[in-house]
Amino acid sequence: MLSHQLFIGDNALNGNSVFWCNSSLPDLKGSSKGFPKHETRHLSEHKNVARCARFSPDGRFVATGSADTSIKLFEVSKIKQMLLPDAKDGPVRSVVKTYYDHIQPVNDLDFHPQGTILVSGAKDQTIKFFDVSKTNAKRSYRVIQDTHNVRSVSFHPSGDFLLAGTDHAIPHLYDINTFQCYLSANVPDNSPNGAINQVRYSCTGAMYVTASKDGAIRLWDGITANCVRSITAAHGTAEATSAIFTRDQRFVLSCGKDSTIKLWEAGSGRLVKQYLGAVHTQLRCQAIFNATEEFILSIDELNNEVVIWDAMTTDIVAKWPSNHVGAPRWLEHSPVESAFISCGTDRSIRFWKEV
Amino acid sequence: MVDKYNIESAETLANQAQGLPIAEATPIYEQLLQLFPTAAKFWKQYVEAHMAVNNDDAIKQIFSRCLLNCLQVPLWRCYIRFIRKVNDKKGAEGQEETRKAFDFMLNYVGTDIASGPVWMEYISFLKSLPAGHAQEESHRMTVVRKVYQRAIITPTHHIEQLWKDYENFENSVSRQLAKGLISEYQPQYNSARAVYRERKKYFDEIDWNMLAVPPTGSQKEEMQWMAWKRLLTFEKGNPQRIDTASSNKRVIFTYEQCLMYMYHYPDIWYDYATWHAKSGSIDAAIKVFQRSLKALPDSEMLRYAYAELEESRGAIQAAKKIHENLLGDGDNATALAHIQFIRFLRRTEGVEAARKYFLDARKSPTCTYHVYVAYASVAFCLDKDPKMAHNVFEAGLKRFMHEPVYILEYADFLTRLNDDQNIRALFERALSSLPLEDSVEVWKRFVKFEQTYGDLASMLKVEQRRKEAFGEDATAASESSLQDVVSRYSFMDLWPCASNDLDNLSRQEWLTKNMNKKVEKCIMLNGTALIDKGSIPSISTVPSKVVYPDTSKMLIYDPKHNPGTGAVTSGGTNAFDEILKATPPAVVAFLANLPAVDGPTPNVDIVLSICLQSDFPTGQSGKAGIPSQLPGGPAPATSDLSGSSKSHPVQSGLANKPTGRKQYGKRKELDRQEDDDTTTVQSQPLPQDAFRIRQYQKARATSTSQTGSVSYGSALSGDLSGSTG
Repeated sequence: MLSHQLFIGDNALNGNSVFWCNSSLPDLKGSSKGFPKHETRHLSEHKNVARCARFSPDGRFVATGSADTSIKLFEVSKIKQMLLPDAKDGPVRSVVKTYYDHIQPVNDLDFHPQGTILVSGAKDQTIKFFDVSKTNAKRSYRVIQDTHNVRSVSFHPSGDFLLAGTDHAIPHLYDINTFQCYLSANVPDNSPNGAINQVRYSCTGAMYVTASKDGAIRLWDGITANCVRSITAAHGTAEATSAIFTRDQRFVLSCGKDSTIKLWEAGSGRLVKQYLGAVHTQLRCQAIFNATEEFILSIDELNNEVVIWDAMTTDIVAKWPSNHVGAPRWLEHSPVESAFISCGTDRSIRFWKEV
Repeated sequence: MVDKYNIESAETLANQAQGLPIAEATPIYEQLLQLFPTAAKFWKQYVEAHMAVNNDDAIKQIFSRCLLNCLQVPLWRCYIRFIRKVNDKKGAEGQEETRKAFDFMLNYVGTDIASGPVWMEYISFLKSLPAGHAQEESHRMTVVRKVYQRAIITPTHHIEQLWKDYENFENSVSRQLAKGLISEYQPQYNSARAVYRERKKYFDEIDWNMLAVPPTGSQKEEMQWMAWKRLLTFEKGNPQRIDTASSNKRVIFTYEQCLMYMYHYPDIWYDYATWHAKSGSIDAAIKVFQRSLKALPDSEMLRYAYAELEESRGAIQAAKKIHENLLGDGDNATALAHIQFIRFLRRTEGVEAARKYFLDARKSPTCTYHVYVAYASVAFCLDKDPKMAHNVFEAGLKRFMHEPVYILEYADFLTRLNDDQNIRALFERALSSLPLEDSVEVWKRFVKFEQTYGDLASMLKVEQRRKEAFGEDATAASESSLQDVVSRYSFMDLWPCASNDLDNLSRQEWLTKNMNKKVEKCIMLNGTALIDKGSIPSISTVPSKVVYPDTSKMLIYDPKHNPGTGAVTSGGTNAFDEILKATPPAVVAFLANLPAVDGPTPNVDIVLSICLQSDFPTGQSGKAGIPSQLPGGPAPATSDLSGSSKSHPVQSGLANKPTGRKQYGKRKELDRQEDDDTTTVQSQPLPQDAFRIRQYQKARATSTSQTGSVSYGSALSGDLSGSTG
């Protein structure tokens, strides 16, 4: 969506990046679009810092993980029902389930692309599998024991493989049917501080990207698991905290503790856009796209605001008070509609929805 | 017309009205309720506005309009509040009125899941009634008891509270009697409470705030429709096993509530009516149909369904009235309405009435050829009057000569008469007057007719004429193609050739046509190829071009050997469960298939080592999962298990691993014990590589200190036989 809108009428194979670089041309740039107004509502409260959130691919469920080691699962339709002015017989409970199975803080979550499985990676060095369809299961039904703090998990689009980004500099690839773990056969440079903050597959599984503590963004081949590009110092010496692909796999959006958000061309490793103006130096801040990839959302820790950029023009189009006490730690946008979740260091979860 | 059922504007309008004085608000409410006659929340707001100014007559009038259509507890509670207020100062007579109102109300909404507070209010009202002497007192007691006994078998949110209240009540009346009564009602209460829990799930699915709008096909509407359907099925199943009358009452209540929200859904109305009819109360079904017509005046389906019900129970006049309604004032009646009326008349009043009506209908401006065809078939098939039918068709032909479908119908009719002379004449007449583009089907039928009725010469002649008519160039026309032969000599589903012959023929025909335009052909081929690809339905949501990892190009890493922080030490649950969770699904599936063994448990380690020694056929695939999970080290070279070759990379992976060698999890310990056993039992050579040897020695050293604990193997077999057996 993003690149489609950006490259209307531009069919040249390499013309894309030229277009990006020429953003100084005012007539090509155009004016920024307005980001629709959202309403926000307190959804639930963990017993400790809410650390991460993930929507299911169909947008029906959202799960949040917390430092209190629990995972909450919400049904989005129920959240929306809850937002209605007067629901019958008191408030609707949007939390479908709470899982207490980890013994240390939960770092990241992912839903199986087709099934009803939720996986979680936690500091206790495990990856746990929860069957969302089982109404009375409170615990995982399957566990992968890793060797490191599991900081990030990402399902292969087939759902047969799972990537884990850990304190180890190389992503761990698991075959979820055999639990066999695979590593890249040749890793270029073993960075001393290469712990992976985030790992994400592209939508076909042809590539995956990691954002690591040494500030590098690395692109890995989905077939051989070889590191095909290493953008060292993508965020200077500051940690790279998030990295995601656009849906067409041509660009990577990364966020770092140097208070920058950057868009990279995956093919060339070239920096094409920067989104500036938000301060994020403390938390593992996320830069995310909205469902249409027209906008980018992130956090300003200093002013405790949600900041929204027009993805195309890089202009800030909105700044909203986060309504959390202290800057929120994580943002996650629904893949199907204008709604997102913020997870606060104040333990609370807020739901944002276009009004 | 703009969307008149716009929910947002309705809500804003209602909000506005709330702020206005009653005189100004009334027309707004009336307008809103015209559109949303079942919106209980608007009715409530409307009536409350009147209550604020004590406009009793208006209140009564509004209640009389809405109560029976809106079975919503808050609205009804509003009603009871009003009744109580009005009758407050009227002494005994007023109390009697109030009591009746309560009864009336509970009769309607007493089965609602939210009706608990109403029951409580009624009970406390009854308790508050003054009782002069002992007789009155005991009478009051009986009444209260009866209400309690109804309330505690109704699955509401407050059922547990009501039960407690009831227990207290009985105990306060008489401790001796209480025991008997409570134990008598306990089972009924228990089943009601169980049903409540089930029922609540269905109620929770429903959006009680929704306004009734005509279906637009949105996902939310579909979800709500399904939620209602599920609730209805649930209630129809009589989950509480109560008597039919009470159960039916609940179903009726559910349907009524459903229709508040699904007011514009003909299927719900129909279901409701048929349910009534099936459960024997035709009159109720008729009433539902009448209401449905008020709700959906444009629904012909419902009218026909209604007429059918009337007709089938013998109420011909009523049915006739419905049909006449469908005809309207005659001028704008649809052809279908004419036809159905003719058929209805023929069924109920006989040949003459139908004929008479047909003669009238002919003059209607909306009379199409369908009416002629329909009446002709009535005359032919029902009246057994081919002459009449023929006349009708002939009369119609003057009017509908230009309708190819009419010609075909007429030809069909004549075919049934076996009147080939007339058929031929009809085709000739029609083809001479029909424009070419309308005559395709007629030509086809003509050819087919000649194939059935004609001789070879006439057959070929008609085909030739058809080709000429369609201007296929003379050469192509004169060469009769092989396909024509195929079409002449196939019968029903029997063909004089195979289906690939047909493919070839059509392909060749297509090639002939495009022989001269090669460039275009390429484009078209590409185009069709694309379309073909696109038309393949994708089975799952996986993007079509998913790229899979090639794990053979990667190193195998075995993180399992790290000190188990999660698997073993996460206390509280059964350690076996935890082990099972960390076992690959394939192995779990294998374990689940193992039979339960009573009697002596074999030594797992010995069995395993025997397995390892056995020479299994090589056909076994490495994917089986089990081999790859076997301890890698001692795998003998003689084994053909594909897994054993797989297990070597595990070790190389291990060697790379910087941490996690000092401690061993249970899993590791098993490996070691196995090492011991295999070496002693099978006297295998010691591992060759240095790493294995070191590990082996370490194992020796530690196993003695740890064998005291239950070994993995026996724990596994013990628990498994326990769980499966």
